[in-house]
Amino acid sequence: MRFHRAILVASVIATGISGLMTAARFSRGDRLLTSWALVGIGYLVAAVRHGVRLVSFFEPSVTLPSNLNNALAIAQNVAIAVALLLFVLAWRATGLTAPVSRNAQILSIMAGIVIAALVGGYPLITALATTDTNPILLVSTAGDIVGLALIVPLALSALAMRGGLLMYTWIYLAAGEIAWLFYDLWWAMQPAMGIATNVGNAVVEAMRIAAVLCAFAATIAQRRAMG
Amino acid sequence: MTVKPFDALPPVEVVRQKLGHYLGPFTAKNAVNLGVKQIKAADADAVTRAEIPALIEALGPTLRILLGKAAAEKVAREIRQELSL
Repeated sequence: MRFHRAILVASVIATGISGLMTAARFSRGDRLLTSWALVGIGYLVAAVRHGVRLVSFFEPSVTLPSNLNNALAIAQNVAIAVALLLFVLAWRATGLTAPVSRNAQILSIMAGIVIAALVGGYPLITALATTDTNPILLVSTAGDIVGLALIVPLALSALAMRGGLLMYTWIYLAAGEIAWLFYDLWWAMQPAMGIATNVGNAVVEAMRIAAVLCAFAATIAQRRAMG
Repeated sequence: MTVKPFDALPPVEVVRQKLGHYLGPFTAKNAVNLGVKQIKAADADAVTRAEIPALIEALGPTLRILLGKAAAEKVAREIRQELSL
């Protein structure tokens, strides 16, 4: 667990820094400046939370006050969800289209939203059923649903730009959210699968790390495209 | 597939290929078509060399959204250099 947590912390730190480095390549007034800045900020906030948790494995007295932890969790989830939404809105602002019919686009986006609501909403429904109204869970779930719902628009943008350098930025953004989708699915199904807890947790952590590393790859891909 | 050197291509095709490096061929073609509409040219393939600067200008906002101001200006410069404009 500590090993996975250490890798997660290293990944979120790297992604946060890389996100801000990518944001710094944009000029004031550029649409994606805010998106990348929010990616960087969101992951650095995650680094603080997960970093403190990692330290607490070794020094249990080191913890974040509950209110601060909640505030950071909310900030992290809002930042990433808004960042992804801004990416999709930026693509729409270009007026460019994906290489599929309008009806196919609408249907696939609707399907993505339904899946996002079902998969992302499951932890929320479970928690509410146990009268557990953890604010982190609520915000995390809302952020999840937004992120998952944006998989299709992000992937369609990547499809539109296939063969170009910018394809990689958008496909990594979509892949990161797909990793979060699998994370949510696994989290929901693991109890019923009868898998040993340490194995199940290792899989969960691997999916979380994969999601973060996809975001890291996206930051690199964007800078590569910018030259 | 034989790749023609840029100086053997129509100017608008040079623009498409340069953009295609960043946006992919499908979106590059779309972007050029949108730019051609903005400069009120009849047809993408009818765009003359003299109209290319206006086309590059029309493509500026799209490139700026996806690549940022500095990289978009760099792409525009590359296109102009390639066409000796």
